[in-house]
Amino acid sequence: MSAVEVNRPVAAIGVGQTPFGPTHEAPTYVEMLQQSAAAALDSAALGIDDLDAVVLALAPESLMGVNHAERWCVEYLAGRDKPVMRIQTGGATGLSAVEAGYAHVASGLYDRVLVVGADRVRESGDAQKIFNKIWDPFYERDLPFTTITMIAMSAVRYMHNYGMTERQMARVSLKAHRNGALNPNAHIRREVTIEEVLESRYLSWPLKLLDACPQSAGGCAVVLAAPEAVDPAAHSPAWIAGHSMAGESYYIGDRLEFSERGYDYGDAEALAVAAERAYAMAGITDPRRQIDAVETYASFTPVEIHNAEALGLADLGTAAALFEQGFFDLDGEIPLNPSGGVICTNPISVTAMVRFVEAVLQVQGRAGPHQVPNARTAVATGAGGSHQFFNVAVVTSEEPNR
Amino acid sequence: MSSQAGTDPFVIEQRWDLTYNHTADPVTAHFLRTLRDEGRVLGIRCPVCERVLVPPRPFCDRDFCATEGWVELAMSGTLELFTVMNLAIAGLPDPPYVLAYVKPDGADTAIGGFLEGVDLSSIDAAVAELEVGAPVAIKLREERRGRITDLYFERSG
Amino acid sequence: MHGAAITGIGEAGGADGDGREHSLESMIFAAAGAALADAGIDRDDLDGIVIAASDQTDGRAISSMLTAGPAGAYLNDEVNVASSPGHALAQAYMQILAGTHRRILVSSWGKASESAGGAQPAERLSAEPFFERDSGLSALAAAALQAQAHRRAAGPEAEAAALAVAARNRPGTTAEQVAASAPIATPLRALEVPPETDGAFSLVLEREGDERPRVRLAAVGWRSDIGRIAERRLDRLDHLGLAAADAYARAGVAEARREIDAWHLHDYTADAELLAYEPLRICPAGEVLALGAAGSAAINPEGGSLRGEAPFGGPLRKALEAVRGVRSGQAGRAVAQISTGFAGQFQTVAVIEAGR
Repeated sequence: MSAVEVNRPVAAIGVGQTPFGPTHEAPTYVEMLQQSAAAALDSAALGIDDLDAVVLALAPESLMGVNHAERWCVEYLAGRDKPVMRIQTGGATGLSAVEAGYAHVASGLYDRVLVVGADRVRESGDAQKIFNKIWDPFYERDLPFTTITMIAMSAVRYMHNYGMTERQMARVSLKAHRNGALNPNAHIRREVTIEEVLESRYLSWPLKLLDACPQSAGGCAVVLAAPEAVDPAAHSPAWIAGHSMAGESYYIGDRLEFSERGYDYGDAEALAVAAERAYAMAGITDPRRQIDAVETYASFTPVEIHNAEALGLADLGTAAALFEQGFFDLDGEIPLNPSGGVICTNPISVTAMVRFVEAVLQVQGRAGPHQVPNARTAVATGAGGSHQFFNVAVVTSEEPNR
Repeated sequence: MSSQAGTDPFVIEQRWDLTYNHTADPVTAHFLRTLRDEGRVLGIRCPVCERVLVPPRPFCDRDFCATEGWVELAMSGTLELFTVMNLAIAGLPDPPYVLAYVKPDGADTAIGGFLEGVDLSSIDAAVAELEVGAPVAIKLREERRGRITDLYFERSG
Repeated sequence: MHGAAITGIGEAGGADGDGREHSLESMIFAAAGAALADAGIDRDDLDGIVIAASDQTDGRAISSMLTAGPAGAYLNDEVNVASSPGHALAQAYMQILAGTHRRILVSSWGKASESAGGAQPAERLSAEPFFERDSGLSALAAAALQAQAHRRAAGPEAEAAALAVAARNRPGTTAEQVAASAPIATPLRALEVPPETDGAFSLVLEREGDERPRVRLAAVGWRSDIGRIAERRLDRLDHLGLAAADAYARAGVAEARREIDAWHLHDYTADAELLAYEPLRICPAGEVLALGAAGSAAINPEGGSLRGEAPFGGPLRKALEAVRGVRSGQAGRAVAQISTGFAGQFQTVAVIEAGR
């Protein structure tokens, strides 16, 4: 990726989220799209007719129950006669859609692009039943694997390699819930104690209920713009200084030898690869010093621990202790998931976009009660597939050098 | 006229009823046939990285080349990953059960399966007896159907 | 702004060279490998993978988990544009223009044999759930409603033109045979819709360097209509016209009829092909039926989708056909049209031309 010669930079000039919550209380899917789009357009001081193109973030539509639901959405996003496309990279979808929107603008073809999505994760009854259908039909679907067993086994591996304890995982949950209680949009907004986490029932050992994300409904949207479309009087632009995605092998059983980086299935090697590329694009050489806030996609507590390492914020095997020391707390050295993160809110199609939107709010200084003081550079990540697809975006308050 | 009578959600049921007939590639087909008919577990070699891959597939995604050369694997191996599943999910087996990845002796990768014969009356007690790196026996069902569940694991040693 | 060249194409069907059946994944691997070999590069030379995967068509709830690997994505940058293979081509084109990528492998596919009843049962589930799904709307029904609207608007000669197109696009078939085939969704007869097949298709896009490429991806344009059939203008493809206008403006095409030598149109029905002539500026509206009846060597020179088409990803073949035409010298500049959704809801137009 050293060959990156960006045609023109791209800014986020508007963001919007609905409050997230249980599916049965949410508006319909298309209404959530509209509410998110309207909020993002409002914050960009634009109308829907000002948009040149639309990118829809829609992860497995089997969760919300309409196959290729992008076909349904066009009408509700004023997309008739417009360029509209849909991105689906599993849990990474929301950030992949932002990356696709970036390409729309950086290419020079479009000046103002709406990236929008929504999800109703419990519409199908039980998301985990669907998450069994993601596995290889010959070798793994019958077993039956799910996304919960997938992360439980990663945690077991990391425990084996580095001695992580369930109590350390619980400390991540405590921090996540403490931050989420400050975030008016979070699905789960109550604090928990370490003892409560440890006493919650096992989903799949060593993961317990309070180590896990909820199944959320809600929507999210971003307006991306070219420098020429940024109005200093109306906008507080946040710039996408770097971004990349990297995909691991689908096969979990192939990821059990330590790689050259020293990673195995207990870690997230492809996240490290994506981060290296995004950091190179953004000119980040010392992530621990240069990054002020991080919103990382971690649907279970142990993922947040190894993500901190893959993002270069801690050495391999050391992050669990740093969480216990408060290093990643809202008032710590590098606040990790100041919004409460995925542990408090997981509307799958837009979960990774919420990470991006929260990163934007941080560098704009508009994050409210969970604002990290003086944040100028923030990182957002997404994760999808068999702990497989990882993407990273670096968001800055300063326009990147051309 | 009220446009929004009441606040109760109005819910309709729609069912998806899709049936798929997944065709196996020749490598997967040979593995499943051999497992079913002969009770043997095969791996296949990547000619570039020389890893013996199990479950076998027609290409190595790392080297982007076709695989070639069958390798018969031992019916023993190493426990690489495991979890005790404790959550009931519609359409899936009743919990608790143990899922595991085991690297068969002679292979460079691990294959998934049920780990059976573990007393699950207490999850804490069960996991205290399980350890990454432990020796495992690869067992076969009496009646085999050409599905991956024709094999399963038990602790050994 | 960087330009894009197309340096490799590859495709695979439901079986390998020895007649052994492919899995979905091995079919994709075969097409991707063929495109890389055609471009003379290795997978490691790529810095981006763009795929278009349809989860329910593939019977894998997140298809890209299993299909990105055979499309070359191991530890690479990858995105799945799930609305259309045309949109995947557009996304890759933008990534080249943006300067973030130098070499991208674009792939899409469909494997009708994978699902009982082919692609139709899954396609049907894209009907909106409150108003349209229970009415029995399907991709086939929508195509039939569109054909009916077209024939009503175009007049009594439309049926003969459609029969002529169908016969031409299914080489070896006569208009009489098409007319005699069984009605399946009036006015459409069995030979007026493509048989569903298995196929995977890949293209290598590269940033244009100092060397003149043999084939350029001069432009891509894409536009959408709404989904709800009752609100559609089924006898017109205005959004295709807008997609074409975008593509022609980006490619510097002023007079399409004169400057484009070959048209690889997405004939998911013969009526759909006829409906494309005017918005693509192949001919004025008043000449559509005459052109359809008479035929043209410039339109679907390899035959059309009516020969057989893989569900969802199949129309990516139009872009491969355009590349073949330009490489062979039969066309200096060609258009590939790719559509997805009921009655061509999403339309993509690619302009592919010889390097200058």
